[in-house]
Amino acid sequence: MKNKKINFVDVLKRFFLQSWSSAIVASILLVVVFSVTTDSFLSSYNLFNLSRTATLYAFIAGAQLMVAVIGGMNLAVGAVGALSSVILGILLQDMGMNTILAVFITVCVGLLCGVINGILVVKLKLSGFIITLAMSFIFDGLAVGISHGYPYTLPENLTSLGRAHVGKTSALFILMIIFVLILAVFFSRMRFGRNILATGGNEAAAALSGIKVDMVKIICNALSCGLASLAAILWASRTGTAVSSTGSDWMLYSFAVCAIGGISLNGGNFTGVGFFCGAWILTMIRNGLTMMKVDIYYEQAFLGAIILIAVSVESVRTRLIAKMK
Amino acid sequence: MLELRNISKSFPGVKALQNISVSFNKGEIHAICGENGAGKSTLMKIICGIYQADEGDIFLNGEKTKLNGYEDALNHHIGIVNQEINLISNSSIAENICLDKLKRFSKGGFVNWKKVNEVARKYMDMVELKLDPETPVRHLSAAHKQLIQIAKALSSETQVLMLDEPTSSLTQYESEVLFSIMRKLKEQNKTLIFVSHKIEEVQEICDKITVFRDGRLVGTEDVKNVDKNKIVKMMIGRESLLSYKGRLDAQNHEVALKVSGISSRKYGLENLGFEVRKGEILGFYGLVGSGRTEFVRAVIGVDKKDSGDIEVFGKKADLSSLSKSLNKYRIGYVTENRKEEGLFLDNTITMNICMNSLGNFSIHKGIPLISLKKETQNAQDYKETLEIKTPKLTTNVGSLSGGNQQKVSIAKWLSANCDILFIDEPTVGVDIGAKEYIHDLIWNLAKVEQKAVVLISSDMNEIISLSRRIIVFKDQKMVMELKGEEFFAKPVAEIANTIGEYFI
Amino acid sequence: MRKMKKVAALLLVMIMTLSMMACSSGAAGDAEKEEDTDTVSNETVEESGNEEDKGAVVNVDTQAAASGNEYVMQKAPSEYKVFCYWPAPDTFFDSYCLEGIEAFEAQYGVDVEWMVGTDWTQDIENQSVEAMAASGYDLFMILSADSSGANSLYKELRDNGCHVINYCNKVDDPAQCEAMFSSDNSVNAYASAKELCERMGGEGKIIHVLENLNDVNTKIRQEAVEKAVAEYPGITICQTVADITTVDEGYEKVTDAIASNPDATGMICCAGTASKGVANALADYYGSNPDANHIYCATMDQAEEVLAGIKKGQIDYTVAQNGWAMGYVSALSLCMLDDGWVPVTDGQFIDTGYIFIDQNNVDTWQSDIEAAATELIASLETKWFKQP
Repeated sequence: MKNKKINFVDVLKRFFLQSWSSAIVASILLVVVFSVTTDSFLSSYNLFNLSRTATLYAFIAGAQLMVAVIGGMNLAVGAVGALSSVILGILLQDMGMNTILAVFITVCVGLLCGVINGILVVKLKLSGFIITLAMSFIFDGLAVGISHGYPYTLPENLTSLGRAHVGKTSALFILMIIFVLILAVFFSRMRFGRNILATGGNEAAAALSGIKVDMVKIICNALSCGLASLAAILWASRTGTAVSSTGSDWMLYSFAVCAIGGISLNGGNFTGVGFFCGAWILTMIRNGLTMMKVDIYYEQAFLGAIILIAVSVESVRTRLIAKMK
Repeated sequence: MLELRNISKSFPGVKALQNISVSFNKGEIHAICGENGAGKSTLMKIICGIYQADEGDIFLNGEKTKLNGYEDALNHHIGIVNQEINLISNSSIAENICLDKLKRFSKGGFVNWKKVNEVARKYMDMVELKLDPETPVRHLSAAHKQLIQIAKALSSETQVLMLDEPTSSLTQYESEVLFSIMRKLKEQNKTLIFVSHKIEEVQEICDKITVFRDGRLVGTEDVKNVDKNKIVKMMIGRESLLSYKGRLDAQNHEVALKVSGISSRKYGLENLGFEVRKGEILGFYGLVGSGRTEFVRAVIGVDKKDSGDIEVFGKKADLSSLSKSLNKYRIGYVTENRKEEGLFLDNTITMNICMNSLGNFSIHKGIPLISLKKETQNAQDYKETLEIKTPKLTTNVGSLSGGNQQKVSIAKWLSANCDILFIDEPTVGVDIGAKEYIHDLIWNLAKVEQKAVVLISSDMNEIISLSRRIIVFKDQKMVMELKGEEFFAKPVAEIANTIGEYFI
Repeated sequence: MRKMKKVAALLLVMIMTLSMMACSSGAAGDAEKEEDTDTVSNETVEESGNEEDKGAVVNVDTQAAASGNEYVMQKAPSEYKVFCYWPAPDTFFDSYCLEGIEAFEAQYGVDVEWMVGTDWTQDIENQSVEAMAASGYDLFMILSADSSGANSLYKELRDNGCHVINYCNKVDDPAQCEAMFSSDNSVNAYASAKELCERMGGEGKIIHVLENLNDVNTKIRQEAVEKAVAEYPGITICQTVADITTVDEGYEKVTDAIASNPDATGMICCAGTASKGVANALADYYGSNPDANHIYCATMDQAEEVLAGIKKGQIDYTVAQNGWAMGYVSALSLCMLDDGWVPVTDGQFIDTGYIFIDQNNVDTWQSDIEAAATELIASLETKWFKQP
């Protein structure tokens, strides 16, 4: 006969054995802290906004994730976002194109950017760091060059997506849940997703397991930039305009979400829950700091400190596990 | 000199050492043997202060001593030479040797390199390393690097020197050089602790041998009083069974793979060919660099081949890439570097075993979703049939022992249902118990499951015991083919002599 | 097959490079075209500008404005080597300043070489300007990237016999340039805040949106707004948000601030980029929130999204600076300096003024700008520069 208390401890133990548990603990901590210290953190209007921002961060981080899982990196996430915004703006405002077609073409341009990145990484055998750094200047330059910094006004049917409510939450949030679910299924249940993780885990072994490693890398780079494009479209749909300055801070945040979500930047692993929480944590921190009305001149320092606390939960967890054993 | 009394050490879930007492004397080479996981490395780490024993004491020259960390051990003149080479490849030999005491040679932040080189020279002489102390380590051979590591350990006025499998990356000749240096150090009245898998080496240079099994001390003996069988028996608790396994009788079976005219300029391979039948184990014998592995890699499409014709089960086949070889022709390749090229060390056993056969686990035919249940079941089956020793299938492969890792590596290809298997050095770094198990496994693959197996090995015992046809590689050429079931029924030593003639 | 892929990769890169070159040569082509039309009257040039630009067009009758002035050029137009620098892509420059410069070019036949840098750093500005000085330009109109750092650049240029005018913002005292053409941040921020408080009826809570914290102007504006608000006991600033360098950041922070202060009834922003963020955030606030309370809002900059916000009633008014005048007068003054005219006081600040744009004049505000510009041109010789 086991008694109930032991079972509870057992469940807790099992929970903490999961690598994503620290992300959950950090999210809960943040919710508690912000809802206690501010009045309107849990107001429906704020939650609505939070859910939309978290979605955008999830897509931005998704772009980084697709290359992080193969142990690469994409410094051009923001630049592709900028280029995509501008192209979307031109197609919709200047050419008056059908919205769905314009979105489709924009994503295709993103994918193309990624294919170029991927081919260069594979064929020149240089690190993704160098290639995407160089390409990010090219994409950024093209975005500014084409638009000259002018904003593009977007039609109502696109902006309505970013502003739509679904029940108590936003349409974008539904999109985020679908996105994370697709990612989770893709990486755990689909052969290609597994091949990607294998390539990230051990490239040589993947090659000797009959995986076309080069193809995997090109596709991952393409998906990465495609997601950056998608993020830019959603971002534009939310803010209502498309500008070339979109994405200037995406690169760092994309890394931050992945790192907070417990996704190894060396590649080879993915947890949907961690990723989901990572996007939420970053959003909550940025929102919560405004809510708490911290001294504006020190805001960056607070942001850094809270991110540090959030990620240190993971290190505490691993130590606790070691002790539990 | 150094004495351990009643040492015990536990890790979460494991009793690594239980009540170990052993003493090491001056002017003695003392071997520590045991299978992987027997507790050798834990003991080493306790001696050099990296771990602290839970119970028991360490006596140095009769004085009870507590070692807190490696630094502390160095101060007590205890040094260790690791199996892996830990040198800074861009720095010079002298800098590597004196790295931990550069402070002593510097004034106001500036290092007196002349003095460093002088001191390094002294220790290099001790290990008979006749090189310029300013040579960068980068381009040196493994043997030289190993000697530098020893010089580095000696440079702390070391009295107790531990050598952890120092010969694993050395050739036979290089090992001999190392042994002569060890003998010299012994004459200087130092205490040497020698950890090795290779019983021949122990018999050659050691005075005493201490054997561990499962964290316990089996016994300490004078080497001259024990023979090889006795040592093996001490280590695994039973006699070695490496011997003639029987007949395969595959002469009349269907030819599974026929290869001819393979050339690869890059590796200097020219016009090589062979055939292997179902139910046969073909041996490729040769030393590292003899072209055997390069040849196989070119055949199955890992590396590029310039020309060559290949037939699989009588039909012309295009093996231009490994994914074609695997997916179209069911050819598998168990690599010799299982850690670097064979396994996903940070992933679970399940994932590793099922990696090449994911297509078989769809939740429903035609739906490209993997059923985790079927996948786990598959891994469970292989875990049981191959006796992979692990508490859970979700354990990362990196934390398994060498033998179990090799089983996973083989299971991966079995799971992919390969008809033709190339198995490259399956028992390198595997302890004796697991080695025998893997030999049985390979034997049964051919004998029972009628697979065509090509076994690549530089272990003569292994290849003679398993193969019934052997192709010997030397200098990128096939120099000899041995065949005939009767020939292999002869004593191993006799066959070995026939092969060995080519290498003298 | 592998070679094919390599070739394909190279081709792709080449296509991208080519397209970039095509873009830049297109711009150069335009410039050449403009050169050709130098002698044509200014109206035709402005018409062609009308087709290209997205902003509203300011149309000043410069001949009439300068009719009372004595200044005539002493040299052939091509001998005036004027270089204009703006630190980073910005619609304020493209839409307003550049129009003024083009009007000047058309009137006097002087070719002004202009350049937009890649980032708001003094370092890049120094490099670019020094390169142009080395290649023979000696008349500089510069927007300082760093209000104190720019002074050393200016001093160096002046020491080397160049003339320097700082436009569109101020540099720290003592200013090393000959003159600064700009509106006074402190004055217009104060005026804007007072106007907002009046419109709010002297009661309520205000969200204050600042921009880049590394810019001293941010602090100046903040103090001016706080001073104005302090004069209304019924009004408090309930939250200040800042550290905004892009439109998107502005959008995100303003959205958060609105959520954080459901009782806020006013919002003020006195900087360009942040104002665009405010406009987007308010469009989203009213768009996604059918029963939203009205927030009285004052912005700065006459960017498209801001004007759209005014038309929809989401923004009450915006403070418009006179970019046209800054561009035109700076270029003109440089030529005067080159011909030996001297500033009345070295380093003088010349206020180019500001106007309010609200629903009443959202379609006609250009005429207000034109009137201010005309006045400024006429005052150049009476107030600011002396003949040799």
